[in-house]
Amino acid sequence: MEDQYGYENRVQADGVPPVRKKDSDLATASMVLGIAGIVLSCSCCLGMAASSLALILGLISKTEPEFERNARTGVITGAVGLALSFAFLFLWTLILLSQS
Amino acid sequence: MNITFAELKLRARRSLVGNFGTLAGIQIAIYAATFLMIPLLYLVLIPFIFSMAFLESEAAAVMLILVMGAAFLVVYCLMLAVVSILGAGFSRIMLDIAQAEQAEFKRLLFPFKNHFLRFLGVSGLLMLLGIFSVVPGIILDIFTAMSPGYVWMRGLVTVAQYILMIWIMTSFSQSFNILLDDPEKKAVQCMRESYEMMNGNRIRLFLLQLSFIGWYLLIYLSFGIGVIWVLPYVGCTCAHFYLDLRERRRLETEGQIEEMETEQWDSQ
Repeated sequence: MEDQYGYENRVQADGVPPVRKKDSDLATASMVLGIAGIVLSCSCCLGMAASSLALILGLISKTEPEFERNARTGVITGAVGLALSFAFLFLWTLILLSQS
Repeated sequence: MNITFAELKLRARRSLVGNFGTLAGIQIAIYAATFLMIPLLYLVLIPFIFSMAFLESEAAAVMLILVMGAAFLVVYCLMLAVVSILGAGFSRIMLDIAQAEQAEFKRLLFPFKNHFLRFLGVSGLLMLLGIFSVVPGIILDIFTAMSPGYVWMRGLVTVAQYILMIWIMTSFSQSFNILLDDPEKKAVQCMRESYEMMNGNRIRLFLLQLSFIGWYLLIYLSFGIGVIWVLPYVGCTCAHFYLDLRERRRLETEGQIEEMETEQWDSQ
């Protein structure tokens, strides 16, 4: 059993601190790309690429019925980044069209 | 009771853990081989184009164009053959991973080492069937083009053509996997077994493939980079689908044998 912080919630008889379950590399990469996707969303293409990769990696890293914490963060930030990228794409298109 | 798509996909994701690095290398090797062959296709044409300048008669020019076309076709077929065999090698790796083995680069060459002509046979037959599914549309184009109801008829035939194509492709989709499992089998036998195996499962496979549409969209949005993870995921899910079908078929056969044995026992 894990507590809300991802630590194994069992009594340690020998006084050794509880071990936190390690997130997979894919989940960590997903989180990093998701955050990068939000930051880069104003550049449309880069934001779109990073966010979609975050979604792909986050969803593929799900090997248990529930998401890992990093994967969940990656999927959420990826989805937000993708939505922002599309919003910026729409905005830039409108600006370009109004200028021409 | 059929395994759900979610269960198949979960199995695939679990099987792929720790294999993405090797699979990325394998995919890059396949793409590199394919892209290196494309210039080869055009290299064949260069000597013919240069020799055009030294031709004196019209007949010689026609002859040269025919030879050039034939050479182009041969190299193109060779290219298709290599790509399809590499594809079969990738399927072998997917089957290995689905059976809890580690991905190995050398397994990509499995079809080349085991009766590669049979793999070519399956791939050729599948291609012919693909062409066959387009024939009704071509016949319609020839006979009814420019007639008043052509547009509607063409639309209907196109829909029918797609249905036929999906039916053919799903029916024989397991041929490569069957051959990879037992390379001693003949190409036609593999296709027949695939047809029998897919009875009652065609729509299921079609829906499974359709459920990956969102993933393909993500590949486009990631400018193709996502293919490194998505392609093995799709391949591994299909490998699990095949293993499930194979297991059910084995159980059915064993059940039939047991029934026969019981009947024999009763009659005695």
